[in-house]
Amino acid sequence: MAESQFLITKCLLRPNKGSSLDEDYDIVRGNPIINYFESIDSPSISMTITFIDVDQVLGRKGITGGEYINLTIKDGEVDKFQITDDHKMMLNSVRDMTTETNKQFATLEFISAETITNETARVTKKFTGNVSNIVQELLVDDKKGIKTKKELFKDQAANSYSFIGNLKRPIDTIQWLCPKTQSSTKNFGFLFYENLDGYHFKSIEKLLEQEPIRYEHTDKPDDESVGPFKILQNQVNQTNDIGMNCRMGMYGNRTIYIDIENQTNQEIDFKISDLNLKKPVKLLDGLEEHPTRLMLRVNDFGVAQVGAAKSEVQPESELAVYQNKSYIRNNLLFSQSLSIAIPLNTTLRAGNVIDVKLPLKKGDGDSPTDSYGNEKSNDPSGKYLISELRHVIGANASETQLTLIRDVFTA
Amino acid sequence: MDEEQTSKKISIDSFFNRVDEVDRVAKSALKKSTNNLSSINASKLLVDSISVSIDAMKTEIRDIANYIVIENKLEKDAAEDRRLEEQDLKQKQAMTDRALAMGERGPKGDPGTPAEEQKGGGGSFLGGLIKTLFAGGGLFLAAKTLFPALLPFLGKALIPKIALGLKGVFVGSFKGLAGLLTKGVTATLGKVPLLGKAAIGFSKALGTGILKAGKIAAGIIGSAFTFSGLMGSGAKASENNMSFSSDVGGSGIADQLKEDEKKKKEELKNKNEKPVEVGGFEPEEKKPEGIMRGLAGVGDFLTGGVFDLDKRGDSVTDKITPSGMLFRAADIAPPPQTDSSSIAPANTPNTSEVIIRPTTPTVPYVRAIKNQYLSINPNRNKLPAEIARMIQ
Repeated sequence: MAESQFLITKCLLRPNKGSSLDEDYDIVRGNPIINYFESIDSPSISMTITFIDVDQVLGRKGITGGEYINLTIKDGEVDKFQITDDHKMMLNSVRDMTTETNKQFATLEFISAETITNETARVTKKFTGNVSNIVQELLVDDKKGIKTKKELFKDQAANSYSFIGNLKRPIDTIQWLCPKTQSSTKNFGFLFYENLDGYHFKSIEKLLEQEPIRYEHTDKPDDESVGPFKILQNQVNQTNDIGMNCRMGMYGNRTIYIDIENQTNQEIDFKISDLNLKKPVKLLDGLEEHPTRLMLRVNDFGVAQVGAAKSEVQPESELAVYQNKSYIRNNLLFSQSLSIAIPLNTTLRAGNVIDVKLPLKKGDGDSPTDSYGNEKSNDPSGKYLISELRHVIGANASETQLTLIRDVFTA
Repeated sequence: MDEEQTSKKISIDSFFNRVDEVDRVAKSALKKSTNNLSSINASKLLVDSISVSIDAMKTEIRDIANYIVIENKLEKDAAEDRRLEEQDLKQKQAMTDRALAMGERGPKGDPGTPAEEQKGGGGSFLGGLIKTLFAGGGLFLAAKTLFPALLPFLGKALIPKIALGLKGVFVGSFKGLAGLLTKGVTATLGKVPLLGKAAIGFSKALGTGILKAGKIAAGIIGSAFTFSGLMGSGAKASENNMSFSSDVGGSGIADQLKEDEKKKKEELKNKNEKPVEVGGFEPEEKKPEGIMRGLAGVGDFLTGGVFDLDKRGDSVTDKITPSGMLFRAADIAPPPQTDSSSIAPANTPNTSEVIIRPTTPTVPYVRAIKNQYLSINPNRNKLPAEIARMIQ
């Protein structure tokens, strides 16, 4: 095993109102093993810390949750990875606790405190306007919302939407709005997630347009041209389950749109070939011609009413058409994933784009493998979006594990 | 005999009784060994955890040691740089002062003692020169040929004094020659209207050159003695000047003493950290005066003092005008460059053997609050089959 170069300089369990702990408790000497998680489909960052508690504070104080964590990891010369009081990472549960005569082992699970606020909050009022502004309202401004002090990074949506809260949770409502949000006149699909920098409400389109960070796989031990941007392990996870994709309507779906007021219905078919992908998905002949998922939509005219007069209604949007497209897009995006292990890089975030370069053989037999694949080649090399991220720090290991999803749209 | 035999007779009871006893012992031993094993396991776990902690401490200590080594090296390098810079500055200063002194002495017509020595020789300027050269050459040859023979007699104490005397003679002679040449050229060509200034400059340069030649010759003599390894490591000519009588070396040694005194003064000046000013050789940058100063001031006022046209540094008025603010902003703004610091890991790859690990959060609650509205493949979401069945 190679030597580690990280240093956990602070790992402080801090008391909270109503929690069992009454003063700061430093667990940095308990040889903590830290697992930190981010995901683009998760509204909360999470972390687990496994440590040895020689003072048996967990048992003595009866700690079961509610405390905050304050963590600093020195990576190289600077404190690059910091979880401060502002991150509000709260102890959600204590598990796998084993008690012995001289010590206790335990795993502490931390989540964002906002998710607990989300459990207690319900939105009831009617929301109308630009979707990005609604998200801002639900997360920051609305007194019945989350009221977070964390920063919200958002792309401006191209469409507005009207709906009634229906006693849903604020974060659930934001997630529900994701596939309904337009990034441009023809494109749907937003993602809502939290990473170390704050909350993000970002369009998939814009995320894929980011400047990629290049990572290469090389067998040379100290390749200066690659430096720390080295892929240590890689594994393609083909989740192209044709049966399940059919069930999800990935290749073709139909929306039956019922207009209660006018007593009419409309059928809108959507198929994968309508996306005009540069690298079309290889399919069984004519499979996309038959919709495999039927969706029923009923327009809520009560919500669309903005004035007392019957004529004062909002213009009908083409949501039914493009939301179907967003389902196909999401399925396509998440269907090809690649897992890679890299040296610890605490500056990476879920939602970053990575340009993966894997070795590609030029021909059969003894042909050299001295070149890399690219977007045009059939190998797994290309642009990927960081879907899930995990930093493993502790027990003489420091690595970053990434699950990447393939950019099949702009490539 | 019979009684003994009956007592030793093996019966079923005696068999069972013995087995019970053995069983008790075995059970007790097993219990003890189990206890021991559990305590060993506990100790092992403790040792493991301690070893892990020690490893972490080792890493920390190594980091600290690396930090100290790097800091020491940096400090050492900086001190060395400072020392070299000071040495360089002193050498330059000494050279400049010497040249300045010689340049000033020429035109004043003060050839000093060497001129009198030439009179003592009974010849003119050229005669003196030839004599001096011959004397120098002869001495040098004598030093080279007779030295090995006279060596045992001279001894270590006398050799440095001889070398110093010879060096003094060379320096004095060449100084006199330089003074004469400078004076002669200045007196004759210096008065010619057009060539005057050039001739004076030339004479100064000539004087400096000859003086340098004299120093080099003196250096050769010194090194000839030094190189033979007879002067000893500590016997340097300059060090012995203070204890050597002035009548042997003549004015050369006196000059050497003066130079040493100057050096000391310079060192004192350097210690006081006062800026060293060098006569007219390195003139201070001229500041505009009069109308030019006013114009330059206006220029600075308009440009925010970015260019410092009046050579008077920053002033309060430089920050008032909008144009000045623009200039200052443009000056302050760093050059455009791509910032990759946010994505650059501080460490080199330190992990050579890793395995692919799952990246899905292990906290069940976080898995529960994942976005289920993206309508993505349930294989990835790990949705149970009954939920997938609900999808129409």
